[in-house]
Amino acid sequence: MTLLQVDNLRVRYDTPRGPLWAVDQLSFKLESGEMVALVGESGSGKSTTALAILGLVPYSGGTVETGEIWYGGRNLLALDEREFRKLRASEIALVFQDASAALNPFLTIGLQLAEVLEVHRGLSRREALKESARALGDVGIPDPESRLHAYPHELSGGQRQRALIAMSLVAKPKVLIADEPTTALDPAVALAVLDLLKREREERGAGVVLVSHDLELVHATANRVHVMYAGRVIEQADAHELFERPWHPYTAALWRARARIGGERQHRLAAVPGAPAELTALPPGCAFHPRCELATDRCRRERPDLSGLRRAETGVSLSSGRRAACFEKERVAGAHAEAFDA
Amino acid sequence: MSALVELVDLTVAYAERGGERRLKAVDGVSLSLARGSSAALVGESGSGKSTLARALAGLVEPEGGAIRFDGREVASLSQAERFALRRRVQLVFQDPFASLDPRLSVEELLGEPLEIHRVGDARARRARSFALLEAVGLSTQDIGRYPHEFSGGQRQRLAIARALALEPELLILDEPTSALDVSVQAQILNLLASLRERFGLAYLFITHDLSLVHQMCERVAVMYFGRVVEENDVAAFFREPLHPYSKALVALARRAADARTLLVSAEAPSPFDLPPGCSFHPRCPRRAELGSRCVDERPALERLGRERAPSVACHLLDSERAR
Repeated sequence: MTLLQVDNLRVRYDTPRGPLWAVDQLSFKLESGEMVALVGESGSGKSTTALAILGLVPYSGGTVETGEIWYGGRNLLALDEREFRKLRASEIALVFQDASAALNPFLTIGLQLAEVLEVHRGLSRREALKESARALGDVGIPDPESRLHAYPHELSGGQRQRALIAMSLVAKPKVLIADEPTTALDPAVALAVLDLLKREREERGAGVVLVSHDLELVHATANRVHVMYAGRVIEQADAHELFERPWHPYTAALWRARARIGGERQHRLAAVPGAPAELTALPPGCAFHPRCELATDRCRRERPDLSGLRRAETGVSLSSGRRAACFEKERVAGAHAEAFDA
Repeated sequence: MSALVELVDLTVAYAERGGERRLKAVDGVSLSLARGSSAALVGESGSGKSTLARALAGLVEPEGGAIRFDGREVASLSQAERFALRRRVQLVFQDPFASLDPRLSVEELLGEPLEIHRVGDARARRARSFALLEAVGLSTQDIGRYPHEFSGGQRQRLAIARALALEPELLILDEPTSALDVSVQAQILNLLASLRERFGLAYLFITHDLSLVHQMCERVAVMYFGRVVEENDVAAFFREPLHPYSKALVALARRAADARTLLVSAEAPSPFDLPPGCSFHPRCPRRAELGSRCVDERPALERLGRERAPSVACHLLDSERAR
């Protein structure tokens, strides 16, 4: 079942240096129980997409120029703020990154959780607190009834993070937006958070949009991946296919460039030259061409759209709806095919 | 190889904000760093790795123990000698957006350390700035520009150039790539590798990123609540980490299937309420194997052989050796 469908989203910001489109021509679907990842570097548009799904683009000073975001038979972008507010937290919730910034230090954990339930589910204070204790227990906080009375600073860092996740999950939202949910966390706590998100997907069919720059994380946890560069999706594929045989030179280069633990140490890493594209000064043609070793004259003139491979003989499956926005993707995909044959 | 820096039973403590309790952020650490070598301090947040680095750079005063540089105890040096020592140890921070003064031009940023240490005249300083820019892969035409005109990766290059201005022997690099875009991180690590070869620098990385350690370092020390629990050769460490906590960290970094079984609890206890005996015992899956010994007695860091052999602070290894 499709939970969320984003169609042709385009978001503009007006800056002193002129308008820029943080997101352009973005479309994707989120199915029940699935984790879809938006990966990219700074300026790729991944976080702006998350803001758009939460209806927060106007608050960030931007404008949704075109596009529709469908949820439960309604286009979210056509809702007024009052209607959107009802959905936020109860149906579509953000999993915050930084617990110390997102919790109110003057309110007990119990009141902060209960408030969500009172507002969104109309529960009484008493019922809401009971439900809140259950939510804290669900995320692995020991002795949840007594923890309801604790203030944020009285919890350990890891427990604060769990309490915050409990707050995101307490109203059982169908769609979870997780923007870099583990970057600030120690590795064991990060793993526990990922396990919690997985449980929400498996036990009640929640869908997760994971926004991240961490390719290893995405590879290990997401079902489908949209790689973004300069506001556009440049490659989309199932997670295991994407990293095993990338079609876009940017995806391939990012994956090769990372330091890794397994195997022999490399003398030097396979670095990608240059810096991520500046949205206020995009080059003509493909935005990645100044950093791409395969770039041709055509890439410098013309912008490629997302499409499948032109030839079937590369041996890459065409069934999954994989697409990449690159004129040379057959060469990239073919290079892997040769490497595999050899 | 003679040691460039030696820490002997170093302790650094902080007073709790608004409270009376004291926290030993570094608690009796002994380590040595060879000239021209590259080592890493790893551990979770609150392990004391950054505090140790700050003490080494002379930014916080140790409460006890000694720091020796070239065999001479830093505490015994005169003020002038300590000032001179500052030149030899430089820091590179995580966030080049925060660590570079936005009001200073590249020329001022690179010239300032030279001016403070009264190295050369204006012309010599300018020549030195050009050489530094070239060394870190920036253009000499950048000399009049300001930090905001650079990308994140270029800013980190600039921060490295500034750290190199006084020809230090040791660079302390505190998460030098974690604020950078993924595609740029490899550029900076490659640059650091080349600079080390070219200038014979020693590096001490402070990081939670084990893939960086694998790529860049020869030795690694794992810290847990202010103490070193393992010190090892990097290749051996990744092949077979020895301390139960190291095993968990490596398995987590590898996303190994058994990573969840290697820690009893994902969360560390409060630093103000440390468990008795081995601080790691409440999270250790093997804590019951030696009866109550891990609760009763704190294990010392012991070397398991000769000079370059690993050191581990764990009763389990101790009892295995005894057998």
